[in-house]
Amino acid sequence: MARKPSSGPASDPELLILSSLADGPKHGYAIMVDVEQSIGVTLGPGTLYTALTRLVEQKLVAPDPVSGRQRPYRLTRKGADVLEERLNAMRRVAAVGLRRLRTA
Amino acid sequence: MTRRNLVVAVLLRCYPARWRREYGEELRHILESHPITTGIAFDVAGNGVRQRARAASPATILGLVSLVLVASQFVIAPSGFWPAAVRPSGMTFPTLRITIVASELYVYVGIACGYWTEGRSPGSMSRAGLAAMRMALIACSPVMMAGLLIVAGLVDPSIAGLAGRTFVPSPAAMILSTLGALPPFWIWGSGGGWLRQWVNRRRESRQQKLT
Repeated sequence: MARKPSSGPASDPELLILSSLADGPKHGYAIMVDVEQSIGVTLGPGTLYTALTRLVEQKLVAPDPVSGRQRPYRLTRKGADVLEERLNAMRRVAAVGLRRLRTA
Repeated sequence: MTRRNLVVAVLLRCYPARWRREYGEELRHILESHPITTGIAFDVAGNGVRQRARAASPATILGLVSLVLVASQFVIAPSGFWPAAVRPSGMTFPTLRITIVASELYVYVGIACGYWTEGRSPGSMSRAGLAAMRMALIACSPVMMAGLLIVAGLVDPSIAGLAGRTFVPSPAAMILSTLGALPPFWIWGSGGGWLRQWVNRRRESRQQKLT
């Protein structure tokens, strides 16, 4: 479960969490499962909560009221803007790199 | 308590108390619902240490680094530890000067502690000074502890390099040694705090000019 994410911007735990929360609120365990199933990166629970703590401090993610022993987290407006900006930047880098590879 | 619960409790203790109050129950739930492999244990413990480092005050961080430097003299010069670590103080009450802490380098460390403290949570200059005093207290604790151990009879001074030396520090002086270091640290820390306040004011006025 605690496989270290591969290197590169797509393995950044904060970006993975923001992406996971883009389709709606999830609690910690649901984020871990979603990231593993949809992106193929396994986040350890310590890594997940360290990144979640930072995102909450930066107000990119906000906790919702506790349900049972788990608390759902949702993307804030600011978090959605930051995610979009970072994904667009990655897309621009990928587009340039792929275009140059094809023409080389 | 089962072995698993014990492991979970130990792993959660790696995190600072404030963090545990906020996120501890959620992390406990995940750990209790899944097998704890070595990888997960390292991931949780490692991130716990990171959270502790983030939550620690500048005084604690710099104090612990300094403590290691002071204590390392026990290892580097075990037979000549006392002359290397402490020297007589000019003060009338029984105290010593702890060599590293009395060095010029520590003027800068004291200023850095005050500067960092003020930067992290702006307050008053005297609070930055108190943070530097706390740092000095942590740094000097090995010498104080050695004095207490000698008083308690748990360390024999003759095997710790004291025998045959012209300068033999008394345990009372070792216990009180930190006190002599505190006032200058208050001044340096306050100076660092004042410096940070000055830097902040300059930044603000520059931003106001730009807008």
